[in-house]
Amino acid sequence: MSASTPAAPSGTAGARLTRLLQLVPWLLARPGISQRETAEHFDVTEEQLLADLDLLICSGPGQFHGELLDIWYDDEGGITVQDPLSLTRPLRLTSEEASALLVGLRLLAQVPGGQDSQTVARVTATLEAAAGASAGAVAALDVSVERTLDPDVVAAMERAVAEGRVVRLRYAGATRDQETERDVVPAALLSLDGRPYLSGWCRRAEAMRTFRLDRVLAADVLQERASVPADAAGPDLGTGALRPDGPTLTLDLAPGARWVADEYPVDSVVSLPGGGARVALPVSDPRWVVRLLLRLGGSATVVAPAEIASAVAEEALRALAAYEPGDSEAL
Amino acid sequence: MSQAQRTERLLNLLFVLMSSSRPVAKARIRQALDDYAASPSDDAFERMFERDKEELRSMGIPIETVEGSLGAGGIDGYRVRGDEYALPEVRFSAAELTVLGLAARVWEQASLGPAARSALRKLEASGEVVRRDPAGVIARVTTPEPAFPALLAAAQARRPVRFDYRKPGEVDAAPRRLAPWAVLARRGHWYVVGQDRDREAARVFRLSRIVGDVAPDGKDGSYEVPAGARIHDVVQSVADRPQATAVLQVREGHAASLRRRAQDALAEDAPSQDAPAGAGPADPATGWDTLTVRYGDDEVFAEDLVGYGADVVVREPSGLRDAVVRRLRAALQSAQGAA
Repeated sequence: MSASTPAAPSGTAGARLTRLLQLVPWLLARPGISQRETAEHFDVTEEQLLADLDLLICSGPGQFHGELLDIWYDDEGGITVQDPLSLTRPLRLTSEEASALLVGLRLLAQVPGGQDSQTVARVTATLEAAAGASAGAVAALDVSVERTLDPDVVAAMERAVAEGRVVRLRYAGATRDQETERDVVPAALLSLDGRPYLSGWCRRAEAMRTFRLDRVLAADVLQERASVPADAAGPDLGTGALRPDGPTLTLDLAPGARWVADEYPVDSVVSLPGGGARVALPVSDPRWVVRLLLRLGGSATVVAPAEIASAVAEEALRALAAYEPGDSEAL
Repeated sequence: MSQAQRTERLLNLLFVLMSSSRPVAKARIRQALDDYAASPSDDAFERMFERDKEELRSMGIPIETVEGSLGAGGIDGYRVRGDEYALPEVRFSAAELTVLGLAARVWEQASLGPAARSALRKLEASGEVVRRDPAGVIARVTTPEPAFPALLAAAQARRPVRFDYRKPGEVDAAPRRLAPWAVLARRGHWYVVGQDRDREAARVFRLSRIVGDVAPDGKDGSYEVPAGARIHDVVQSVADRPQATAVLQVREGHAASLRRRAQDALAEDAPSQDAPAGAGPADPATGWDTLTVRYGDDEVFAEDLVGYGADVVVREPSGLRDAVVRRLRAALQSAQGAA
């Protein structure tokens, strides 16, 4: 293991020591604090907390009085650090910790609907000063926010969200490759991996939808104010961020196309001999799948349903017909 | 050895190293810790001590080695200075704490989530606690690529790495050796940029195309990021370098994003561009528009274009047209085999 290896997996001695070193200064500043509150803050069970405290109590640079860390429990079980030895302050931030917060702040300052930039700047300055040399490591990490957005669209979105007004979008959808017009009741502006989205209730689909701002061709804020229906599910930003809820397509991917499993929210991935994979991909729109399969060329094979394979073959034939035989002869 | 025993030894080692402002000799460290004193040989002690020092350093503890600092013989000593160990006192206002909480939540579903939470706990040690569910903009970054943590750690430690990489359009992965400078997300994808040690030039790799593990291939701090390295430019040049100009025919009402790209190109490049870019007038007789679009790589753009099926036809250049036709044929063959 070498310096600035990613955080030790929980359960290792390093991970536990990291917690112990945070625990002592935290307790020191809060004499008599309860075990429950402390365990919650450190996201451990109370048993684990007591084991941690036991370990701390017999530690120190020597065996004599004044060389042992001292912790007392009061009658209610409240914890008081009597002698913290040299652990009065938390350990400075690691490179990884400093860059996580600093890049997070940088992102907040840039995304549509983001925070007051002066506050972000002040927090950033305080943090950089506190992190010292570790702050330099932030140069090795960045998330760039889409900068080619139409400022009028962004301003309209921000206003719609802030005022709770319905917004009329002209939207270039990825799945149908055609423009649509939709009235959306805005819920929130999101930014996922630096890509901004509007989440809201789409009146056309009568469902919660997430719209990529870079595909919004125009946005008009209407006079009408509305709220998202109370029973509508919020956006799930987990791995299933934009998971479609349609039938499932089974695909065999050649090794070169395994990235599909990383890019799209697949339900399952099973490795195949030779480095490929069989994936189950939920689809809301067959048109989208045909496009994906055309893009994958020969590196993906449809296992089921067969109609999808026929649709791909049909579309490929139509597309090839546009190229005169003479043009492709040279290949 | 149990995890508790090792944790205790590491903690006591830290106390010994912090116990005095003067460096502590190895022999004294060996006496002070039971596990060390009980080690059966000098070699066994040395190995245990080296491993423990590395572990503490990997947690960010600044252990100083002071060479020849002790006694007449000039023995090496070790110490951790309190002022280098400790996080300085920091104070944040309520509004600032909210922002800090939002910044930490950016990584909630990513591999840096634990690091962000750990950072918050350190900052909260003697002050206010940051709300864990602050209201405000929802910004999230995901790091689904398994290579992310190892590459970020390597870039921060300036440690060369090697990995297998599958180039777009190729089936087999090939070994690459890289001195990573930075890990960046751009347009929803993660890239690592650095010096390719075989090609001796700056290169960009997409993390989702890395196959298997990222292995260390040299020592920490064994290179510098060149002062003038324009990391963003390098990534941008790969992510969307516009070098060539394509003439496309697009069915009316289709391929909105290509149309937008054609318009963007027109707006950005006019009036001084050699290659005119933009959308030509629709031909009402045929129902097709002619678009001029600037793009980077034939293969990359072809992959994009075949997705439009029969709604987009490449007129120029021939390299791009050939790439599209080849891909369509491959898709046809594969689909006919399956149907």
